[in-house]
Amino acid sequence: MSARIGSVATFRWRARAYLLFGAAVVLAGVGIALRSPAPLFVAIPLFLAPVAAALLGPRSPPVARVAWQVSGTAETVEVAGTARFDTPTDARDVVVQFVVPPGLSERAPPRIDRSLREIRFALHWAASEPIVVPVPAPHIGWQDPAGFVERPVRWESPDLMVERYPAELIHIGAVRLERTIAIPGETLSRRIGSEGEFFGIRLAAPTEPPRRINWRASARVGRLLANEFRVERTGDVLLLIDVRPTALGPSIDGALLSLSLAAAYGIAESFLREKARVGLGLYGEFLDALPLASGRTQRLRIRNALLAARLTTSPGPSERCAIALRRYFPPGVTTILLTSLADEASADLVPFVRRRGFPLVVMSPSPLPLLERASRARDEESDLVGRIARLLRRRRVSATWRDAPVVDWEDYWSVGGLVDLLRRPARVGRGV
Amino acid sequence: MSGPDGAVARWLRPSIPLLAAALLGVAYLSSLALSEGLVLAAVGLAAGVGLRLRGPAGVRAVSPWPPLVALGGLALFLPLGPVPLLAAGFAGVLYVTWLVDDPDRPSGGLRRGALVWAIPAVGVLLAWGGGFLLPASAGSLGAAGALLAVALLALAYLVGRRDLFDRDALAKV
Repeated sequence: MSARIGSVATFRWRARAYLLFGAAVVLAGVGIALRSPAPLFVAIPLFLAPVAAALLGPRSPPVARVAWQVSGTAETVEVAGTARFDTPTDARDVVVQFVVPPGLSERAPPRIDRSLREIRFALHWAASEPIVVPVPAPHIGWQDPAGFVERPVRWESPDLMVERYPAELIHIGAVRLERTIAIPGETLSRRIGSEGEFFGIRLAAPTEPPRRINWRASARVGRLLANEFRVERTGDVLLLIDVRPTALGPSIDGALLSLSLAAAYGIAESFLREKARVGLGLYGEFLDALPLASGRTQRLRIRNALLAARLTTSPGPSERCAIALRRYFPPGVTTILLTSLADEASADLVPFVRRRGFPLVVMSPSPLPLLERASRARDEESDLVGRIARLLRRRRVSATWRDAPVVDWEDYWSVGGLVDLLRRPARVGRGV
Repeated sequence: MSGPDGAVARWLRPSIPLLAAALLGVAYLSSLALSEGLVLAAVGLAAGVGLRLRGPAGVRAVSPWPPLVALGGLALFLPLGPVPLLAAGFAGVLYVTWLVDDPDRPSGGLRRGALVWAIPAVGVLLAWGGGFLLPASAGSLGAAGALLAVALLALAYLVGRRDLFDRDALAKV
């Protein structure tokens, strides 16, 4: 896991110091102009106080050892940690400021407890929808008692991520995917399990099922021994995300993209855990592709690509995406397309991609819950608009079903429909 | 009484009566009409304290302005003399103590920030002593001398500590 270093700047005057310096200069100037010493006498402490404050505190940037972690489930996000300081830095002089990442909201104000050498903090955030977002680095700085000067604190800590996605995605990796590699025998994983190619023998656990016991070996040794198997790697999956803008507007599009990214992250995590190969495509104006691969490095690549994904301003034609996909991915790879299906352009992507040889499952985050949340008014007219929007949505989803199975993702904390679709045997035959 | 976060304790800071006494004292000693001076001092004090304790988070940053403007305005009308000038200097010091004694700052507090207000207090005493106790009894001379000495001191300190301003580590060839 990569680590980040806080700040390297050593010293800076704060706005309050500039206020006092400025006031001192103005008073001195007025005093000289009016030939009155009284403003000069007021100016003396205003000028001296920031300089005196600069004499306080550590001579070099203080160093903190920060340890923090994210906990909580579903909507609840708890960030807790400590920042420890060595002598002579007094932790009570250190100011810590946190920023709530976009997509999360603050449930309660942050709790910060200070002692002489340690600051303990607890942040209480809420995620209303699935989200994957890095926790912004807090600003940690030493300040003098009056707040005239500040020395940023040097600190190192591992990157922290808030990862909230539907719970069903944790087990989606168990779905058997289709292979796209010529020789299936060469796709063994390093994972040891209860089925697959024979790997070795080990001492049996008390709860071992009888089928797994190697009776001959047990009879020879005199102890119960169980067989171990090397699990065959499952097939490949391509996650294709449509990052083109739609008529819904940037805020709704952004929220839907955030949902798609969270779902893609959860799906990729789950399949990579099962040693499957996962590829990623982000289609805006052009296709940004991460070719199929497995392992931790691919996990990091996918994470970084998803975190960097933004809505494009100039959308490309759907056919371009389908053509570009063939340059990076073999045909036949199971493709999960994450698109809002909010307009014709996003719906057009489905037939184009399917005709290029990619069996598709469309996962479409529905904009309706977001739109209902945005329109606070609860009158007959808005109800009617909502019903029409629902009918239009249903019509578009049913039209898309002609080309590929669609999951209409309305309950953002559940993706049971996607798991069912991927497990359905009919999917195997639905190719080109 | 005190709420969960000690609302009364936030109001009962020792620096507030000190700043009030300083502003009212300067108002009393100034050549302004007593009512005008007292009103100016009271408005500056009330606005500063009120903004700091009750203002929204974004407005609290400007809470140092009103008392400073009131103090500067009153200082323009102070007559020449040992007592008014000493009052002006110590009003400035007490304004700094009020800045140090901020309940929203965990590092704040009169005792913890003693150096921040004690050094200016010594500077004021030096200037006042130099102006009125030495043979050449000119207040301006003392103030100017003190400012010059302090400026030289600060310059020497800042030039001697390049790390205060250098953002990059020094290169060694």
